[in-house]
Amino acid sequence: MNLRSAVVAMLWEQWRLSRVEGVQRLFLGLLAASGALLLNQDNGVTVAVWILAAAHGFFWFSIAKLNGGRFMDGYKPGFPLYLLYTRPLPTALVVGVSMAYDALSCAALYILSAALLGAAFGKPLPMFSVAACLVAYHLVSTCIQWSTQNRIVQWVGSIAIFWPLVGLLKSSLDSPDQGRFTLAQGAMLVLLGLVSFGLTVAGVARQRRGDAVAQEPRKEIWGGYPEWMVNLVRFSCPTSSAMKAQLWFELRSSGLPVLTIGLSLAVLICLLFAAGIVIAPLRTVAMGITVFSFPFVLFFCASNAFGIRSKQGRLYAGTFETTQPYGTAQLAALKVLVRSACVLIALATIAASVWASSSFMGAWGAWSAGIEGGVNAVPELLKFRGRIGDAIAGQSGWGFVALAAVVSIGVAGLVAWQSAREALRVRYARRVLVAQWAPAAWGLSIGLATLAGKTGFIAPSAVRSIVQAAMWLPTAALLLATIYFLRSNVAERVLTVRYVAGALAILAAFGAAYATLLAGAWLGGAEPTLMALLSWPVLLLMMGGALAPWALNRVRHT
Amino acid sequence: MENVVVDVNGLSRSFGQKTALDGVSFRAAPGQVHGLVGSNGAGKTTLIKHLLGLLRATAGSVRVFGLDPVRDPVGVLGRIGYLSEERELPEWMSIEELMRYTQAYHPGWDGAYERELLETFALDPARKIKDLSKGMRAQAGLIAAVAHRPDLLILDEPSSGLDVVVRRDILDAVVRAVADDGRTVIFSSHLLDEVERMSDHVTLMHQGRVALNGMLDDVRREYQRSRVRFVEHFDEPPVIDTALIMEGGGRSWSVVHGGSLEQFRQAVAARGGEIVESRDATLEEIFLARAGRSRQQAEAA
Repeated sequence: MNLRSAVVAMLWEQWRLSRVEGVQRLFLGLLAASGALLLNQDNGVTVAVWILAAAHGFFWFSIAKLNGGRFMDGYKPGFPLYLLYTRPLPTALVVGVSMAYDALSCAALYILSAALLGAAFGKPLPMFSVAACLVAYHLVSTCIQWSTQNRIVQWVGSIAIFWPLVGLLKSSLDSPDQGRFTLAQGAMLVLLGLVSFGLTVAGVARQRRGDAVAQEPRKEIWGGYPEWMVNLVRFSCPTSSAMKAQLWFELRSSGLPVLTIGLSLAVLICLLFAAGIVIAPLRTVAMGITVFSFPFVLFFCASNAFGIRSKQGRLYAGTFETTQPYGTAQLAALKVLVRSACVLIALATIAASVWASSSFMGAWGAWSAGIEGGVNAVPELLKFRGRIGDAIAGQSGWGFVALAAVVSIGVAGLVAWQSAREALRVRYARRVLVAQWAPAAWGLSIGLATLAGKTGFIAPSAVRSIVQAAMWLPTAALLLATIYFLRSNVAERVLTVRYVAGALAILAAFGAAYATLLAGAWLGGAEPTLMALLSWPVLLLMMGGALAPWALNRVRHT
Repeated sequence: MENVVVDVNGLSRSFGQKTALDGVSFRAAPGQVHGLVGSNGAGKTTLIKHLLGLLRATAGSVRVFGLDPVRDPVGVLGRIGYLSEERELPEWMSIEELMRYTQAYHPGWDGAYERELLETFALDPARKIKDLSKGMRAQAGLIAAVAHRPDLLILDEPSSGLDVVVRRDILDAVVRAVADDGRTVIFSSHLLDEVERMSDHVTLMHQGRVALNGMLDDVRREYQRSRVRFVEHFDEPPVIDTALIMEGGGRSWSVVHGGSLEQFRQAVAARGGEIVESRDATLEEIFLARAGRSRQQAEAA
């Protein structure tokens, strides 16, 4: 075998896998960093660099998903390109090429972005210091992800390496000759890279030989949570009705793992806040986990309620569930409701823990978000906590009910939307990708129109008309799409009377609760544009209710 | 019970440029064991997926128990037992949980039959699906498919992963028991001896089309394999109307042919030859002859 052609083939394979993600990262990074440079005159360069570093800092998810999904969604740590094990190539070469591609391609994307922005805005961005940090971070990250199949090592290691490298990059950016490393720092980066490479080769060699726990990920993956979570709470499957059995299935396979995650985060937050009284560095960790746990549960744990699986990056719906004699609309409703209920309970548990634990901040003394010489944020945070307490105490009974209804039904809507999106990616991957970018394009066009109005390129009255029309565009699109999905569902006999009645009742409850919350505060003399904006949550919920069974039906009957 | 359990008419399905099914028509009646045979990519699994409603017909129609499986999945799937080719089962479940979960969907679940099959296969109900070998997984899937005594049992490559004893004794017995109760079995296989042993109807699929369909005995009677000797020396197979495939060379050729033996004898005599011996063709010989002929026709086109 010609070694050069083998390396080219491996690089080509990885390029094919990561090219779409690469374009997405490049575009998103450029968009967000441009915004930072436009809006922040004083500190725009630093913010733009951090945005670009965040955009290109993570290893390629499109390659990682060869292991069966994302982090907890069927993903198994280990070397993702395990099909290369059967190639007559040394492990060091297989690992070296893969690690090099991961690190260098992301660093190259950063350099390209920095160069483009520097030229466009006339503000040079530091290139090689950030790129060096990114390369080191990628090498260590891939080492942690690929060299072991132990999830604890994967999680703890990922968190442990994040902060030191962020600190190193920060010190480099804060230094007077922005972007220069000291000799010791440079040597440390090189050493990190070399050690990571050596450890990864050793770890992957063990997996290749079959010495590791499991030599390669299973070909057939249950698209769900880790098995130890699924088996944490066991109870017998009821046999009296199909609905009860399906409820058991949903709870075991995804509902209880979400609750476990919520409970674990709640306990962890409580412990970290308490430990922060005596161990000052833990205060930043406690705040960080508090801030990230809500979006994590809300967006990660609320996704893929339909159990879409992934095999070697290919998405599909499992035949086991799709061949059970159960109505599609009922199945979609049951899955969304069980997941929503569990996500809500998890969020409530975390919120209660944060509320109770935040009282420990009084004993912290000082905390300044890790910024040297920063202002002590504890008094402000305690004041903020007091204001939330007052706001809750000041709510009327109906206000509470309305708030609870809006949050609960809103979470269910989010679960329905995310699940539908995952399901539709099975059949309409490109169209879903386009649809995902549509809001960004819409926002960009409004931004450009506003910018053109400010610079006098377009008359202010024309800009106002464009913005007003643009605000009504999503309203019309949501309405038309809902009508289409409803018609299609009726034509294919997907919807049942019970489902429609239930969906309408939920929608009516949401509408009433939403109007109660808005009454007095917003609606008095509201402009048409604002009215359009305010109608979106109701329309989104309505469309989610029609889209979810449609999407499940499309993957069930391809 | 209906006279026709499965009724497929002019079914076509394409995946991009590839035509997976091209005008397939197929019927199955109660009490029949229907063997679907064909080479890889012939369209067997695609046809089965249409019967289950997992795929929508882009042309033609599919009716199972008189219902459209896409529009009425509950009505159709409630009466079907299905064993998938991939043996896809939830990894986190134990065998017992799998049985209980499946039982909840089927009120007619036969617990005694389930226990009997578990004992026959020597499967421990407490074992997790993920710990089972491919063959044991197939056995667990088979029990889940048959224990509710379905009106239609669909098995996609049931022998895959099963050892020869289980295949010959247990699988045959299970399939025969279902058919003897007046229920229908449709199974796909590329093991022609298995199809000959188990089925009473056979459908040969080739390149997305039904190349042959009928009762197994009738199909076998329709085709013979004859050894023929010619006076003249032929470098290429001589053209004989009813011949599907000819192997050999010179004066001696072995021919798989359709039509009556008398017709064939006259056609051979017209080329200056005679039949030395003749017998019913095996399914494998018929399959190879039909598939080979289709390939030749496709190449010629």
